[in-house]
Amino acid sequence: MLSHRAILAHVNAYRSAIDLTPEDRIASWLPLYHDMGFIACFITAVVSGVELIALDPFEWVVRPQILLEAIERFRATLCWLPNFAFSHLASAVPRRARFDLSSIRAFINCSEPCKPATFKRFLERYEYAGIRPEQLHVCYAMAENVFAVTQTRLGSATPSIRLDPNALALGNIEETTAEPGIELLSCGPPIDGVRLRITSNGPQPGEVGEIHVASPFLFDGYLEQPDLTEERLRDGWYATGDLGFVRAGELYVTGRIDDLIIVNGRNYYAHEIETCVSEIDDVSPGRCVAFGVEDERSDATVVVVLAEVLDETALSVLVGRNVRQRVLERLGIAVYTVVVLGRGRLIKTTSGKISRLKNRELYLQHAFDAREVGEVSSQ
Amino acid sequence: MNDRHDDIFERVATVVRSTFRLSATAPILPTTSSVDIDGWDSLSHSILIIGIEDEFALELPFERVFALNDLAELAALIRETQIERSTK
Repeated sequence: MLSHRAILAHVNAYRSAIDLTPEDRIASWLPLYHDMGFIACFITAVVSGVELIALDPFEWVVRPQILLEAIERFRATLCWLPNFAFSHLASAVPRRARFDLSSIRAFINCSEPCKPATFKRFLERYEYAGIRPEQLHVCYAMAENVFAVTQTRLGSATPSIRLDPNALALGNIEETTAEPGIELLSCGPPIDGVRLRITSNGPQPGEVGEIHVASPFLFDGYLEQPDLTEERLRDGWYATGDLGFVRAGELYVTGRIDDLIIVNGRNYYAHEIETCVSEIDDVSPGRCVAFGVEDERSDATVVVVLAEVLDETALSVLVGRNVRQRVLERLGIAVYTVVVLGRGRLIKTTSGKISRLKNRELYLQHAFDAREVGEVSSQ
Repeated sequence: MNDRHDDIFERVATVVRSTFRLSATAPILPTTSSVDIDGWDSLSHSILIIGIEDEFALELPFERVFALNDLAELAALIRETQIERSTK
């Protein structure tokens, strides 16, 4: 629940963070049911008297070049995009098409984990069009705070930090220049009025902790969900479920505490997907796990389901089809990969629950080999 | 010139195999849909459509490409678009 007062207070604070002026023009393909499309683009534009060039999201996804055409034609200055959209623009716009994007003050990456490699690809593709590192920015945002929590400083390049992955796994921050390293983009300092604290209740002791947010425009709670509200909103602080740390006054986000999977900017809980899959006749009740992984081709988070079957002679192709169909119908999300497993193959925690973390690790290590299990893909 | 229906479907199947990195022998049927193939989500659907448009050198009506139920309907839409173009 967000009050009008909170929304207007947020517009004022965010306007200041991005130096918005009446001369700005926003170009967007984002749907208005999406927080970033609705708040960052539409509400900010309407309240501030700034022009908004709004495109059809379905047309954009098939013809991503229409966004660049709109920027060039209307000399747009601001554009918010989730990470996958930078990647889509870098790879799916026809090579013969040329654009002048020099009017842009900032492309702002938000709603998904923002990746340095994606910025690099985007820069390489559109350097000719006038895009420079100083124009690529990051915002950390959530509907519970209306939208923005932090925002990188426009006019200068987004800082990044390169960390030792072994130290990070223990929750510690150690900068490194050696391989392997994990490079993270800064999400910037808090916008006006926002306070951050990093708590020590992360999964590992160390410097990384859960990000808590307090602000004059924080939400009043979840509608008709008092338990969730009490769990997440205490003494004016919202527990985000995101993990991160602060360096030189800027926020870096490293992951999630809970089982939230963010796909194309929309939030899904792993347990909701698992409940849905468990209801399928061929799947052993409760013997499935859902998690998100990064897809290298699209630079997007995609959903993987591992499911044990009751009858190992069940055709894995059909089980996979049923899983996809059920999850699509019930939750509106496409499961990217379904791996059908024999009984007892999923790893449990010491408390007897199916471990998302361990099974995800095994999946990424290709431990669920196609010879042992039914790969649904016909590859 | 318009393609025969079978030719269209074979070319669609080739683009599908390439988009989703399937083997040359992977079964692609007129009834094949997003629930049958690994990695077929809304974003990769758009990549598939971009690939189809390149292959057939045409633009499909975007408002219809997200309402297709299977590859038979995609092939029919390609055929329909080809005919519309040739009669203009």
